[in-house]
Amino acid sequence: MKVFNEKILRINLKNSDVTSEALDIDVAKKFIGARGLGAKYLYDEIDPAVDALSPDNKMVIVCGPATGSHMPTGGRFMVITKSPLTGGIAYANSGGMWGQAFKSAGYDMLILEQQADKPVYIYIDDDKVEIKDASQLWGKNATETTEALQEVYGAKAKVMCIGQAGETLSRLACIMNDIDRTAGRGGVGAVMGSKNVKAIVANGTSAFEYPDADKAKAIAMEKLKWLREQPATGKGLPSMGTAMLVNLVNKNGLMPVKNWQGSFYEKAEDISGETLRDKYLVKKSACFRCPIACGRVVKNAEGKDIGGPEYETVWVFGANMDNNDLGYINMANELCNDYGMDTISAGASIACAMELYEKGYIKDEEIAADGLSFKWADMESVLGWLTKMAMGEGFGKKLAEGSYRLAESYGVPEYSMSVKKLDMPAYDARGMMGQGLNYATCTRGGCHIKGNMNPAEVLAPPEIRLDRFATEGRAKAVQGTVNLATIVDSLGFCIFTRGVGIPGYVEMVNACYGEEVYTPESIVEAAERIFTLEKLFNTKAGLTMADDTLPPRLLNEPIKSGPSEGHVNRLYEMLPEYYELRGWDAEGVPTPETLAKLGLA
Amino acid sequence: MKIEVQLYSYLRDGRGKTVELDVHEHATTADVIKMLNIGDNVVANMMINDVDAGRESALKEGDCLSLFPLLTGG
Ligand code: SF4
Repeated sequence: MKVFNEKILRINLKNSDVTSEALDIDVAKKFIGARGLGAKYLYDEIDPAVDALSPDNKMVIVCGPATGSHMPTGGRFMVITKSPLTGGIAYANSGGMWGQAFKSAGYDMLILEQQADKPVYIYIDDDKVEIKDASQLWGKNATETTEALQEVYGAKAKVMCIGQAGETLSRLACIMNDIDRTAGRGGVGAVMGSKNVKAIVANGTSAFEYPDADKAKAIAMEKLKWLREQPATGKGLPSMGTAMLVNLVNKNGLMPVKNWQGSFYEKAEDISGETLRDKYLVKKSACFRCPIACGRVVKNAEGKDIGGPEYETVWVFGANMDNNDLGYINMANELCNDYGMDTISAGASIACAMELYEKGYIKDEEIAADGLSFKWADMESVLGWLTKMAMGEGFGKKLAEGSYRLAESYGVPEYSMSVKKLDMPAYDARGMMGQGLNYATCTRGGCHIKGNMNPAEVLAPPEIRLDRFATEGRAKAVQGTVNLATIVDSLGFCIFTRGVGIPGYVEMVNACYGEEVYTPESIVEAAERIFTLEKLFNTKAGLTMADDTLPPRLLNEPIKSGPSEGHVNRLYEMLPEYYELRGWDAEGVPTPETLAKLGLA
Repeated sequence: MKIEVQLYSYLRDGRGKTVELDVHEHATTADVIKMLNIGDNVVANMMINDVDAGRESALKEGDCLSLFPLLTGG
C-alpha cells in the first residue's frame, strides 16, 4: 500500500460483476482523497436528483492519501453517497481499523452500484474479492454480525456492517465498523441496506511504503509527540473523552435542553465526562495509529466491555430529553450502535416527539398500542422506542424517518431542530454566531464537525477567543474552519488533530507522497474545490438557498435564561458575505467564474 | 478573603471538585491558578460567578471561580 494504490474496486451488485480499474492520480491530487475524491466520483457518476434509496444511487467508500500511513490518526475513510435523509450529498467519516485494512488490500476506493437481489456481504483481501450470501446474517445486530464474520475470517479481518436500522431503511441508519466506530450521519446505512449489502469485510495485509520512509516516519513521530504534549489531545481527550465538553458548554448557556427549549441544564454534572470517567469508565480505546485515544469503554448490563458514549450522545439522550441518568445514556448508546443508528438523529427524533407530545400534537391514542410514552426523561420508553425505530414497528417507524419528517407530518416542521433535515448537535447556535452559519451552510446539513466553531468561539483561551455573539468577520472564520475540516476529511485524518494546522497536514501528506504535492495555499484551494463541488451536487439535487437556514427557534426565539440569554442567531448578517467569499452568487449557487477558477467547469 | 474554586476536567485530579481558598484582597484569577499549582497556559476558560473572566480579573469575597483546562472534542 502507498499514498494511493491507484486502484478502484467497482462492484455491480445486480449482476455480481466485480471489476478493478485505475485511479487517475491527477484527479486524486486535485480532490486530495477520501471526502473530496468520493464527491468527485459520485458527482460524475450519478444524477444528484435520483432517489437515494433506488438502485441508481451509488455508494462510494474511499480512503485518503494518509489512510494506513504512520501519520497520527491516519486510518480514516469516508462513505459518500446521496443522503436519503437530506436529499443532498452525504459524507460520513469513520475511524477504527477498517479503512487501513481495506487500503492495505490494494485499493483506494470501493464503488457499489445497483442492488443485490438478496442479502450479501463482500469479502476483500490481498488476492480476492468475493460476494457471499448474507441470509444468515440478515436480522443480526452490528455486534453479532461482526462477531459472526470474525469467527469465519479471524480477528484480523475488519468488519463494516449495518444493523437492523439499515435493513429497515431507516433514514437515520449509520454504518458501523469495528463494532463501535461509526460512519454516522445522513442515513448512509439505509443506502447500504437498500443495496442489500449487510457487511464488507476487509482483510488486507500490505504495509505502507514511502519513497523516503525515514523522513516520513520522522515526521510522523514528531507530530505524534506534539499531539501527546498538547493539553487537549495529550490530557483532556484521553482522560475524559469528548464528553468533557458537557460542563463547559453548559456553563456558557449553550447546551440545548428539552429539544432546544432551554439552553442550560441544571443537572449537567451528572452526565459530564468527569462523571462518566469516575462512575463508568473501564478503559480508553483508540482508532488506528491514534495517540489520543478519546474512545471510552464501559460495561453493559451483562458485564461485557462496550463502547461508551460521545459528547453528542450524552447530550441528546441526556439534557435534550431531561435525563440525568448516565446509565441510561450508556444503554441508549449501546442500542444505537447495535442497531446501527446515528445517535444524534435517533435521540433528536425522540426528543422532538417528546415536545410534540407535550404540545398536544401527538396524542396518547396514537401510541397506546406501542405501550411506551413520550414523557420527558422516561428512559425506559426511550430504549423501547429505539428498538421500535430499528425494527420499523408501530410509531417507531415514524420516528425512524427523522425529526423533520415526523414534525412535518403534524404540520409543524419547526419543531424539528434540524438543518436540511439533519439534526443539529449539542451547541445552541443562538449563543454562537459562527456555529449557526456553519450549521446553515454545511453541505451535509446541520452538522458541527465539518466546520466546528466551538474551538474558536468557546474553547479558546480568552486572549484569542472570538466574541461568540459577534457576526463581523465571522463568515471568513467559518470559511477557514470548514476548509480545514474538508482537508482533514480528505486526507484521512481525525479532526481532533486539527491543532497541527494546515502547514502540519501539508508536511505529513507530502511525506507520504515523497514529493511536494501541496503547499498550504494549494491544499486550501483544493478544499474550496471540494466544498463547492458538494454545493453543486446539492444544487443539482434541488436544494436551494431556502435550505441554507436554521430552525425558526434559533432565528426568532431568544434564549430564555443563563449566560446566552436574550440572543438569537443573526444568520442573515453573515450569509451573504459567506456566499461571496465562496464565489457563489447571492442565492448560494457557485458562479461560472468560480467553477472555472476551481477547475470544475 | 474567602472564595470558592470549582474545577473541571483533569484539573480535579489531586485537587477535588471544589476548593475553598483564603486569598489576599485584589487577588486575580491568575493568582488563584498559581496557588493551585496549575501550570501556565493550562487553563483556557475561567468564569467568575458564571460570567466569563480573564486571567487578570479581580476576585471579591464570596466569589465562585470556575476553571477549565483547554478542551477540544465534540
Ligand atoms: S481522537 Fe478519538 S476518534 Fe480520533 S482517531 Fe483517536 S480515538 Fe479515533
